[in-house]
Amino acid sequence: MKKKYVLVDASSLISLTSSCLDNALEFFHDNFDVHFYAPQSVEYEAVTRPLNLKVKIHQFSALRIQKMIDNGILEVVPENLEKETKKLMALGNSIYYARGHSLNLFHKGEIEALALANKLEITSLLMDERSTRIIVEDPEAFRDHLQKEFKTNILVNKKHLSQFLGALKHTDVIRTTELVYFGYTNGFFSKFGKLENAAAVAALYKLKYAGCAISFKELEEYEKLIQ
Amino acid sequence: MLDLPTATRLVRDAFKSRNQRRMRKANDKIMIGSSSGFSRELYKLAVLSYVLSKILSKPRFMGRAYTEKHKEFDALLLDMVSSAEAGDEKTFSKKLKKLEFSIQNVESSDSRYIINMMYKGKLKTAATLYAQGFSLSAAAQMTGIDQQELMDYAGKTHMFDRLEDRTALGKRLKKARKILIGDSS
Repeated sequence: MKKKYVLVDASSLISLTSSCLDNALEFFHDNFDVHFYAPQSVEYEAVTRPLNLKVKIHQFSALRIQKMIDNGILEVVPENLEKETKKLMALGNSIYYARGHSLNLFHKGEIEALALANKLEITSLLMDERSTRIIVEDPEAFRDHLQKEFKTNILVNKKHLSQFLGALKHTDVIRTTELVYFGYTNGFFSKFGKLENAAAVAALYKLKYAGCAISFKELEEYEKLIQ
Repeated sequence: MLDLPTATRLVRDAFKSRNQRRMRKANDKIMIGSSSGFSRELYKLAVLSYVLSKILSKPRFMGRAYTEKHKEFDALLLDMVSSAEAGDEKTFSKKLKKLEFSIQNVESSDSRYIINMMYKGKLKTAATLYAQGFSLSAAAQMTGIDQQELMDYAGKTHMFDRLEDRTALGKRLKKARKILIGDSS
């Protein structure tokens, strides 16, 4: 079986652990030779930070992610990407303009994952966060959305947009809902027996409520595919 | 673009008239203003206007027992307008902090929820920024809200239905199959 490489960002780890579906990563790692990588900032955001907070609300999720790292399911890449991240962030934050001002839409969190994917030449990204995914997939749709939200004309710096997308070299972004759906089609929910289909649908809804950026319309489409 | 004195006047006038709808409108305007030319003061004002609109909507905070508190809010808002007009950011921030503290005191005398109103205001503001198009970590960083907290909140709203996703699910699945299973059929 051919090895496959997927870069994971903090948002997807958060929704998987919040939904108790993090073992889906183990399922693909063990059965399909998928190797999951994360930048150091993801480890900080999803593990170190919640473990050091006084409020213990997110510690269980953090511990589950730590366990995945310890077990080798998720590999944290100790790469210093400050320069690349800064460069990519400067580009990303000067693509869209409203009323003469550039919209600083992106922060280190997501951009570092993109920079690492670029450096390691990994073209698959697991990401539940919406804005970064949409700009990679459909920058025009994102501009239309910004126009609606800001109730003003949004200008696009096409040069920066093309440089930004060029740096990503056709990165494909998938969400945890796609991961769990293919888990379902390959037996991930088989332990539920006759409740297998219902469990798969419930899991997809759970991911949505945990913050995976998916619309109700898409969930209904998933339901039709499963039933 | 909305400047700080204008935005502060909007909040002061809405509270002075004890008009919740007016405060919500002020909040909407400040939200757009703070995100399209991000300034920390405007963002704080967005949170404050959200919290004040909540106070104005709750009859238990609008009774006679709170008249003195309301006067205190009015006075602090007036000071904020003056300092914003004078370009005195230090005094503006000091008065804003005092107002936030005063609001927390009001709430602690009638506390019904674990999450306080100021925190909820920050969370709501972070969610609005994320809904508008800011990335998750940008919205979290701007507001000081935890990413997981923000995802929990956003997931329980219709936020993701606001952006029309033009990529068909079939195409998405084809891509995901290739990435995860390794066959593109």
